[in-house]
Amino acid sequence: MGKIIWGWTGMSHDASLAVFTDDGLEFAAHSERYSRIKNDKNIHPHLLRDALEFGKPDEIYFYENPWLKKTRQLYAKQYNLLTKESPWTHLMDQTSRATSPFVLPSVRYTNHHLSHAAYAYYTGPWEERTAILIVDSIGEWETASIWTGVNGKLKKLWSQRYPHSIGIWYSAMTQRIGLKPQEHEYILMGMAAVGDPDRLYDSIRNDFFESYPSHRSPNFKFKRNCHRGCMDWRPALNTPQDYADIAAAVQKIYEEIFVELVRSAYFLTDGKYDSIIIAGGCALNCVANPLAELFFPNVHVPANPGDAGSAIGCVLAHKKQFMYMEHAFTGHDIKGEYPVEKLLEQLHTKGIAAVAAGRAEFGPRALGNRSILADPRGDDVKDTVNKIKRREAFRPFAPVILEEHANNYFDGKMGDFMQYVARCRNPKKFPAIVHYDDTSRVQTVPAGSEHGIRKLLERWYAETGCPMLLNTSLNVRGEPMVNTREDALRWKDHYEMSVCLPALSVDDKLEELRKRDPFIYE
Amino acid sequence: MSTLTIFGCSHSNNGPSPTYADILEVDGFKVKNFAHPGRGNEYILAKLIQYLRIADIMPITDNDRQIIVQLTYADRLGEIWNDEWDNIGPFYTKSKTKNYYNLHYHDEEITQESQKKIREKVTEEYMREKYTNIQYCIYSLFKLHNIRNFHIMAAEHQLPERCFQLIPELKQNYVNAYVGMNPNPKYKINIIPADQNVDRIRFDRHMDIDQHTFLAKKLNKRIRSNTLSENTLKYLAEVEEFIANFPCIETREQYKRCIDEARLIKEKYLNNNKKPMKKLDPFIYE
Repeated sequence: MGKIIWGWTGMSHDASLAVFTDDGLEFAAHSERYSRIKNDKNIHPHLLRDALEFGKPDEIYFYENPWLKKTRQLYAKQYNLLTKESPWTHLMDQTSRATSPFVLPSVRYTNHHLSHAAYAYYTGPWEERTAILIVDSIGEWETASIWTGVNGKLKKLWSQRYPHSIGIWYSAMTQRIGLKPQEHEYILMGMAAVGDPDRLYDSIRNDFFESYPSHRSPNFKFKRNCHRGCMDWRPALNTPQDYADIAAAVQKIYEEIFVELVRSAYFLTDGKYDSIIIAGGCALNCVANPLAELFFPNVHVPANPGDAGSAIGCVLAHKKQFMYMEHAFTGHDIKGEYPVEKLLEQLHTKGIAAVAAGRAEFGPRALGNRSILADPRGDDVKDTVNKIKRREAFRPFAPVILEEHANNYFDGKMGDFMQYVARCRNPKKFPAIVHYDDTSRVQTVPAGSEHGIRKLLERWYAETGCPMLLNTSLNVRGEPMVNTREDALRWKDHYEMSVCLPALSVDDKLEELRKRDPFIYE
Repeated sequence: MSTLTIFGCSHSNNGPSPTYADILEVDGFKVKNFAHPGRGNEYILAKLIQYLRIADIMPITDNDRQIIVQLTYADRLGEIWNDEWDNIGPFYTKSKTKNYYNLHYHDEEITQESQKKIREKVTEEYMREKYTNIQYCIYSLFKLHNIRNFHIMAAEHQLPERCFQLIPELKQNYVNAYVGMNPNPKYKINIIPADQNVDRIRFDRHMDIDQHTFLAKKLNKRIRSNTLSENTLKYLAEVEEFIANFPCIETREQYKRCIDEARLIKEKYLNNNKKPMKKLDPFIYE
């Protein structure tokens, strides 16, 4: 039997675990999907149970260096975190809850931004040479960095250190407008389209920034440390319109800084590179990502650029193996055939259907295996889906489209993991999937893909002439995405709408029962 | 300062209305209250086991460390669902039975008939056996950890009388058995504090302040052989006045406000000589 390697993240937020064997990546999943707690920081025992199906680990890697992190926590006066348990103890504790106890091998550490860079580079499409930009909130000390990846080797060119962090500032502003930091940043990004970006632009820029990155230096400096938030900043701004304007100005400033950092990457690599990979939590800002095309003709954002993706990155940083990730379906498996027929029937009759089939997505977006799908044509679709999802009216839904038809409907950069926004060519025809500014976060499904969503879209196109469906995540409000069959049935109870699940074979059913109650069925 | 560790249900931790735990806390005990409204005996036992895990590193057999285990109604069912404690019972009355079985045996449609059949399986005998086992477990745990300074109490209400009629011998073993039902509550704190019941006006039949004061005195006497201090009596007078004058609670917001204000009164008497710490905003990221 080959070597089994685990990479994992967690203990502060977004715990996840990846399992590698000699054949490459076998499994990667978020802990939140098992614990049902959003951004859960602990590795859940059920996740470990799924991982242990591949065998006990021979090597374990962690996505950051906790000792180095403690020096930063000491500097930041986060004294309560200094006595926190070690990653090995945490994993050991959780493993003993998952299975009969055994001693885990020691945990090896990888620097936070190196994990991000390794995930971006080794799972990316360009082996020969590429620039890499990492922007996130905070690692051990680093908050942003620029790297190159050349023939399998990563080299750091520049980095910015705590307390100057765009990610922390973005989270602080998220908190300032009444949203939850570390979770609702995407809502701020969506709100930005509603507000006026110029009204508060100057005041935010003057109050927070001492220096901007420029063509001379990518360094940036903040006037204040936003690590404890900025709730005291201009308390008089408290109406919904103020919040929308703050969001718009924050997004505008973020985009400006992002472009400057991309430009710095261009200059630091002497303009010789024609590709860039963007990673780190800020790479989830799909509105800003396409702006990287201003300096690099080829831009790539991996499926899971946030900290959770580093579960894969920390292993690859040591193994230095290339493994291009064409898809993100690596999580818990709901076995059986993708229920194409059932979905089509519901889409034709009700115009909306929910599906939970195959392996769960490893990343923040639902890409077709844990999704609510709907016919995007018509005026009332958005309201119908919003009613089911019970979320803010201004937030649009994303379309999933056959790649070969994408350019007929959208204009701009598009990706397989919803990493960019593109302009819709006919927003009036598809009001449910366009935002206020007529943009959409498009997911393309390439030809040759063997996943169920491709088969469904092909059939849907053949029967209706529309190559596109509305796609939104299948989750109970306030909870992470559905993971298992049981979660799907619970979702059904909540929203009184059936979920299309693959039919269980007798063997699978017995297996499920055996898992549930081993003493009866052994 | 003596440390008092309490495990129980709403009779030990009841929102705005002070319980014996609050009274003893004001009276000078360092109280760790692990009681949770609405939870069943399984939860109480699990919390106790969790607590006793630290027995190896902390001297919890010291004489000034006291443990109170207040068992709740026998007909409550509790279980861990998604790593959190879920309240299933009281089993005979709650319509939650259906949901409970849907979650576990979701493959089959639950009908009225099958529901009835399931109910038939969970008999009084089952309840009685479970209750006896839990009690036996608690005694064994204390024996195992060589803990003698503990007190076990029970709660009753009108429903499980049929359960209790079958097991009177258990009742007599308690150090302090008390009746939870209070048919004539003095004040109108008309909300049962468990989350699912807030916003539904109900008649709170928990014990009132007088009864809790009596219990606290009794416990205090067992532990420290003295009566309640003057400070505590002042606290009781003030909190009683507050509750008597508080308008009848009808909404969640009102309930929260009532809890907050009652807590402030308690803190005033707790922190007589302490300066409040400056509260800082928490860090956004670890």
